[in-house]
Amino acid sequence: MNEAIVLENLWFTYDKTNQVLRNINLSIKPGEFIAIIGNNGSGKSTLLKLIVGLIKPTVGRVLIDGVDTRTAKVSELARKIGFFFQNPNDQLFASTVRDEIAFGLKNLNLSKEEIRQNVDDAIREFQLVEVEDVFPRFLARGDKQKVCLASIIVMGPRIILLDEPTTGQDNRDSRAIMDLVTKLNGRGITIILVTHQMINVAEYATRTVVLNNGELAAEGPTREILSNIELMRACDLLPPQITRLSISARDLGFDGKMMTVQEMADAVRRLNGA
Amino acid sequence: MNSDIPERSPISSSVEIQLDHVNFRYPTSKTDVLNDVSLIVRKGEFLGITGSAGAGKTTLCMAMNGLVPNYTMGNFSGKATVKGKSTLEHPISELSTDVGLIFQDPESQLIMSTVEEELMFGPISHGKTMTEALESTHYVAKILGITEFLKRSPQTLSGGQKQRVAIAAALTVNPDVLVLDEATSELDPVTVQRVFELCRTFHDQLGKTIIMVSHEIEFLSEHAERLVLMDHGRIVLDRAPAEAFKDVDAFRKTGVRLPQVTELALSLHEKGIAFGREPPLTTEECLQDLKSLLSGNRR
Repeated sequence: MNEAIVLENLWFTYDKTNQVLRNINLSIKPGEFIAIIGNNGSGKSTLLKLIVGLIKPTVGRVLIDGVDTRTAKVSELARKIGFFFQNPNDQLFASTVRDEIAFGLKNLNLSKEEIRQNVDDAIREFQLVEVEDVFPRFLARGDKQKVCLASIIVMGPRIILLDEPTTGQDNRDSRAIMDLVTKLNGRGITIILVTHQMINVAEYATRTVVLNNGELAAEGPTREILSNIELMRACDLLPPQITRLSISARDLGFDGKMMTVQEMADAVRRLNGA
Repeated sequence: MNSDIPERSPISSSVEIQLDHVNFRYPTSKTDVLNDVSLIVRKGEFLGITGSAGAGKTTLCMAMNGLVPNYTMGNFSGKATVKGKSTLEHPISELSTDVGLIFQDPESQLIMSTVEEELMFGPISHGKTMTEALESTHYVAKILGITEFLKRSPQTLSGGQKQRVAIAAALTVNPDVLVLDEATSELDPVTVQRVFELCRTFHDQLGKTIIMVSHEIEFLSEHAERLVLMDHGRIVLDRAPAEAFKDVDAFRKTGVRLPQVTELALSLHEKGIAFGREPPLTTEECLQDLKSLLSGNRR
């Protein structure tokens, strides 16, 4: 089986003077849930644009399911990859939720009945039945995001890229979108999540890639990356509060690699003899 | 907590901002976005505001310097004052020298051709000399890590970089009250931490009043002296963070999470493990509680 994504000796510059990405090498297997983290300006969004084929490498290549993005048609890549924007308004333009979800399908030579069936399924799955005739931009942000995800999913992509999907959201909306993404990952869809929200990285991503000044500073299991305080400091990153606590509490017998409150609570109970 | 930061200056009894039974409804909305909101912010306070999406936080911020209802119009009732001046009777240009507002979207605030000009625009407009404006520009730029961008156009920067410039531009004007409306939402965690610490320095050393609207509950609990929780246009809690977090139900109902260390303490309490007398607000406090628990002495 092909790797879902291969980045090979990848360099990119917008203006020939500043190298935004330098010599990135990375392989991502089908079905992985990857987080890409890094401080502002580290090259995360540029990397996503290269993967989806919106921009082409200055040097090196990007392979999507074995297909080189330099020669692939945009439509070919669009069938394989869904791109979820930070601001849902950037991808909503139809007059109803139903039309929004159906839009991409109309370009796939499907019959009207097949389109209707796919849209019906998506509306049910994403719990949009009550708003299917509403103008998408009038929806609450959480529902707008559901419409965006539904529009992506009906196209049957094997990879979904998410650029800061939970920025500026309250915990309830953030969790709702991440749970939906996790469900899609459970179906074997490869997920690439760019985010500053380390709690979501800790809770959802199995592997984490760290970008720093356009270079791949580290990659590995999320637990190892987030608990590597020297790495995080060197890249100007901050692990979740509970991870920082477990690192500070190593002298008390904690392993310094806690990712969630539940893990830490269980460890406290063990050490307390409960 | 940063040990370089000195003890906090005492909160004055003088009132900077007062909202009295304020209601506001946008022309297109079916319900009040602010619903009988009363709030007093005193000089020198560090106030944190959090709440669910659509709770009215941004509208509340805009009511604090007269943008609501003078610029963003709608059905307004009640009374809002800045330093005793009614926001209905004084122009925004006057009120904005007292209350600096930093929004979530930096694009709406950046107008000059270089970052340096952007940062100097405010102080020059308020009568500072070029030397003074340059001095404050470079001071703030250094703290926010944007010195290397000073000669660049704001439009060439990434979203996070633009937001740092927007924050810096408000800080160089040096208003008595700074309102940051989710201004750190696009920033990386270390820069978020720096912005909170910068606001804390402005608060502690210069006596500035800080009003920080944020979902960054860990930073709010560490820095804010008072936490306001909003839901559906109402203020549902207004207490010191340690007191506020005792009302877990209020947070659960609004969908706002607690700081992870606070959540840990409450989770252990529920399992019958006594863990400090107060919910911890910071990693350091929680570490002390852990040490006490595992050595048999409670905080």
